[in-house]
Amino acid sequence: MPLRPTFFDCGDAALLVDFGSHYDPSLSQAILAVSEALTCSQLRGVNESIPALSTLTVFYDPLELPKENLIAEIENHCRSEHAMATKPRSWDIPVVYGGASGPDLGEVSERTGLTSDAVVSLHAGHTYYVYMLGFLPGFAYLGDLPQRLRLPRRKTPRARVPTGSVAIATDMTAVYPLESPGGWHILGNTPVVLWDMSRSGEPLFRPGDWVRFKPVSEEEAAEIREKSRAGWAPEPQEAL
Amino acid sequence: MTASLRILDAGLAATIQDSGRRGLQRFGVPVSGALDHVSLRIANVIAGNPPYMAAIEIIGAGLVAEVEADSAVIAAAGMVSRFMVESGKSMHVVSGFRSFLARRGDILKIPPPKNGSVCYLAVEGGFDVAPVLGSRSTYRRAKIGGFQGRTLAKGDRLPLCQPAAAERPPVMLDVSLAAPEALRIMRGPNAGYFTPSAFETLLSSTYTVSPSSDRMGLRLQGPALERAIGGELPSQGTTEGGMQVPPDGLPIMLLADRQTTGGYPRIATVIGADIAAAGRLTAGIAIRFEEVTRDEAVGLLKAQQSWLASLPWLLKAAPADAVSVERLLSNNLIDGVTSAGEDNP
Repeated sequence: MPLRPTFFDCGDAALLVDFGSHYDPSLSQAILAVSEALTCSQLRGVNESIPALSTLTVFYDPLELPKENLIAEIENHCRSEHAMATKPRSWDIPVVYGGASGPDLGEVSERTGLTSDAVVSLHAGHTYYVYMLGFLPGFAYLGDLPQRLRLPRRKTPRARVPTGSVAIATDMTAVYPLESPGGWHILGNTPVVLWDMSRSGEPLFRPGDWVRFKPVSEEEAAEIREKSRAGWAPEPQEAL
Repeated sequence: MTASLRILDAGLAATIQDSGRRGLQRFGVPVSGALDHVSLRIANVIAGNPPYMAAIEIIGAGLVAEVEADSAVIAAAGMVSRFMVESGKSMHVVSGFRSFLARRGDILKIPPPKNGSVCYLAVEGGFDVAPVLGSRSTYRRAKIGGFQGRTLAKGDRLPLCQPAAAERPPVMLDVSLAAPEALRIMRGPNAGYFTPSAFETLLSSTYTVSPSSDRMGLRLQGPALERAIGGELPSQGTTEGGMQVPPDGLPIMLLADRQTTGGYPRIATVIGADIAAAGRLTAGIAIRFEEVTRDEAVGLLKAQQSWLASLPWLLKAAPADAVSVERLLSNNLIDGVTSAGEDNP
């Protein structure tokens, strides 16, 4: 299906390409394809872009690239096949659910009317799509969360959410790649390092990837944490 | 012997910054970099550096540092009219926007930035800190870049790339910078989420910068901006200078350390040519907004870029009287240098 975006200026050097308010993985894949095509087109003056749920924000140099040319180029890519050149990958992420690792599991179970075990098996029984990264380096917005787990964000955000926290809010789930303030409900914690910026130029999850969570014991997590400290990172599988 | 600049008083929130971390916003990495890229560039040009070499960004309070190199050419630019160099028993008063050849043991005393929040201290050859993801800019939340990924602290020894400076006459630039009274804006990408009168309110009111502002953004106090459509947007990319409006209706102007994505609608965007000026604002300063067209904004950006590119040709020999030697160390000029805890009015 051809995409028909609308364009909005974000000042003189960025353009918001808006594909509407609805989002799903197939629209996201099309946005990623446009973003990739734009990067590969080597159009002089395009600096970088941020793919998001239903938008693409393109940063450009207005002294090098007239806005009209940029829009024409984007519209051109929107008309063609929306295939991503980058192969999406799939990840299995070990999580210790509940206890000190998941301080909100009890409350989520209460508010959803599900047992804690049911919350865990719903959360871990679903494969999530990486829509976008934002908020923090390597913070991936994973969707769509099963309907029965959807809750608004906490009224009062926590000042400190620990690194590796696996949390949910609205229709998304995520892993906090580093300690930060946060308002999502924490179900568990993963020992996997989401992005060691001193070692790698890229985060573990890229937009377009798929993620599954796998419940593990404290002992298994401790082993993985030990390996991670020595530089170990999980191997992705090629997504179908 | 390694050359370094030893921090004796780090002030409030001094960090190492360059032009920022570009190309990784899709992975959630903020751009960071200098709040006032114009002043950073000026300091570097005067110190004899490439325009965006990493320098010390000084915010809110002053900075005191000792030169632990045989010699070093330094320059301060931004909201600084002069600073002091204690050299043995004498005290030099050095104008901003001028180079100074400091010697081993000299103590640099940068006063709190005046009428604004920020100034830069550049050293010829730069600081020998490793780039992280392509930039030496400090991004505190992820503890990356700059000196150990954090704000500077007393006792830090910032390694310098150059152990000594070549003797040469001092140079200066005839510029003066001010905190802006008004910033020029364009209608924002989500302006349609607000009532038609909200944008008029923004243009006709005076806002005051709130003390809870930081390198991520300036919180503005003034009339609330009314929404026509409630709720949040699906998270989308943010841009520097974007003015996002949370539910309380008070705009937040996004600056260097802004998150790359957000769900608050943006009513306006500060134009590229005024981003550096916006970085000079600090708590308590009153600010107005003027609307310009995109064509005007691009014209202003072009003019600013060609002025910045011409700076190396505007350098001239600095007159000797730009440095005065004060014998009295009790001179009131040094007052306030270490008043790190006090708010800048």
